[in-house]
Amino acid sequence: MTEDRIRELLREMHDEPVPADSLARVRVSVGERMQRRSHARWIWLPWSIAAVAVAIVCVGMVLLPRKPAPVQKAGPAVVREQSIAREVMSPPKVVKPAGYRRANKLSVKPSPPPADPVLIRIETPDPDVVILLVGDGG
Amino acid sequence: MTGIPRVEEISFDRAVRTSEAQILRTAYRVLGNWADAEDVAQEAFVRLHRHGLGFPNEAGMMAWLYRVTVNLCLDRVRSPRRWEQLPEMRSEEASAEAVVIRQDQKQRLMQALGTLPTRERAAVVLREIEGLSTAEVAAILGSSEGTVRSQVSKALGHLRRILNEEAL
Repeated sequence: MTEDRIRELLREMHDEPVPADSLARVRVSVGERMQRRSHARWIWLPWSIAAVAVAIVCVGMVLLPRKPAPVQKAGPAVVREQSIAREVMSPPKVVKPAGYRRANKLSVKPSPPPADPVLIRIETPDPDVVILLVGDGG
Repeated sequence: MTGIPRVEEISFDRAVRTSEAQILRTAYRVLGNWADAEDVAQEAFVRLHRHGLGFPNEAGMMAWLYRVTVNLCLDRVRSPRRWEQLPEMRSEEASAEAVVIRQDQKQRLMQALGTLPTRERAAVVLREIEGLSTAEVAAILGSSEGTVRSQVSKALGHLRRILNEEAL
């Protein structure tokens, strides 16, 4: 047998019909597998949606506590302001004896005896303008 | 515009119907039995569905299907299987005697084909039976045109030797 004859026989094989039952089996199996795949996709769809929802909730829970944080920081400041305001607004409750503090301060650091303040009055040519210089006298 | 419709325009079902005979026949010629060929064809079409029909034309889709089919056949052949010889299909030829002789020759040729290394066999099936060009076969098998030419030539020589030895 020559190579040309072999080639001719091989080409004839191309024209031979494929068994119909084989083709039908392939078609049916492919159809079944496609159906199984689409079924599997529908089964997994709710689960995948649930997983995404859970992930979003988790991220939200992680991120949410960060927002109120500045409010907590601002809290003490407000309280402090309130306390300062209360101090300013409220009248002194207890009048301590004047000597009490001074005696306490003296025990720590003796302060110099208080001197009379010095006032210098400078008159300018303009009778409406007077310059006053005040010194502590020390 | 060419006369070839874009593959997106045809449905998966139509794509299967237009190519199933070629794919099944190729798998059968490479594997040598219809049961394995059916499995391979089935798997090739499932992969086509997964891949989608985004080919520029039907020729592109066929090249892709041939490549997948041959690779599946090569994978299957790696695990040792028997080369089952099933009777060839009838062809409406002139005389009954001529048909018998031709059928016998084809059967012997098919048996001889089974003795070739798988890649050589795939090259012969695609080039000589399916009638693809050397360039197309090279692209499908992932080798050069020179390699395909040498594989086909070597395979034909091998087939000739076997068939002539049998005839003696």
